[in-house]
Amino acid sequence: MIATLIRTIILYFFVTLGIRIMGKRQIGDLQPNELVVTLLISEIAAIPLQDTSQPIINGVISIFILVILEIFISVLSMKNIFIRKLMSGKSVVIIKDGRLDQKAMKKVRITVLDLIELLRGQNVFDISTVDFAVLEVNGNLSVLLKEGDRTVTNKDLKVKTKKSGMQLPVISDGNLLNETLTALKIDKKTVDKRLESRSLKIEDVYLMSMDEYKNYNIIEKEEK
Amino acid sequence: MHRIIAAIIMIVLIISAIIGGNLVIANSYETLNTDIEKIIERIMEEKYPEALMSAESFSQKWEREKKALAIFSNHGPIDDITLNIGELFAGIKTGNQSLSLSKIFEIERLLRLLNHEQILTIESFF
Repeated sequence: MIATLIRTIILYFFVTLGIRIMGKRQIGDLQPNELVVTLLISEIAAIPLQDTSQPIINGVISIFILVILEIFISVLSMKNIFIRKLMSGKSVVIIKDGRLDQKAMKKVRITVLDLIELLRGQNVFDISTVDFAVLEVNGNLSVLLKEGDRTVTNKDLKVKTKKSGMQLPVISDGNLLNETLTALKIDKKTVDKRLESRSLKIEDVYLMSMDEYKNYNIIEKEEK
Repeated sequence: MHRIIAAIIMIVLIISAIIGGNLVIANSYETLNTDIEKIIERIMEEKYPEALMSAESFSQKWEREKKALAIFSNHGPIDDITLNIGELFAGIKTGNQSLSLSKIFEIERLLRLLNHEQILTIESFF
């Protein structure tokens, strides 16, 4: 049983390393070949965990071969369109200029009920409002609504708004994140000033986020 | 670029591990096989004291070799060889030729199995 414990820890690190080297993707965004590799890695890792007579090196080698193949395929896919189409497939336009392409739906084998479900996932409850819908290779549906049904923006209303950028965390769980301050080109004094205005110290803050225009939000710790 | 470098490093490590593993197994097989032949000869000639000495020397070599073998090979045959060595001793000490021979041949078969698992054949692909 101790052998199982040690093997589990070893394989956990190797599987994490393998997935880390492959790169960050959520399960829903994986290309078909990436999904295959992820599933295979989990199956392969389970074998030496359950069967202690199997040498752990067999599992580790198999995992890394899969990672290597995945890296090379993804590099080749980036350089060559044919390989990219072969490995990942291509996106298919299901709705074009407001018209449903039934041939395309047959080709990708989705029913109209599947399509309605995917549209609901994009907060579209009326198919007649859709101008374009593209079924992506990872199974997601990208939707462009008709002009009259799109959400109005400030630009459309010609409304001037305050400048704001992407807020990044500068304090996380009482710790100052110097890397983020450097990236935002903001000094610590600015952060201290903002905290002082609310009689807070860095240790009292659960999350403080700030953008390059010094707009900020603070969430205090519940237990200080 | 970093991922390609990581992939190349992994390839080098994997090839080194495979070559290293194959060399360890082949080496162990050669080392242990010579002792097995000696033991078989002595049992056939019913020279049990000499056979016992050879078996003890073989057992000591096996204890050393199996640590490295366990890293690269299935543990099943390794455990079976250890078990058969115990039974081989029983056969030699009691002067039971058929038992001793069956055990030493079994050990030889298992060692050959360990060695052949590493050999690349078309059959091994399927």
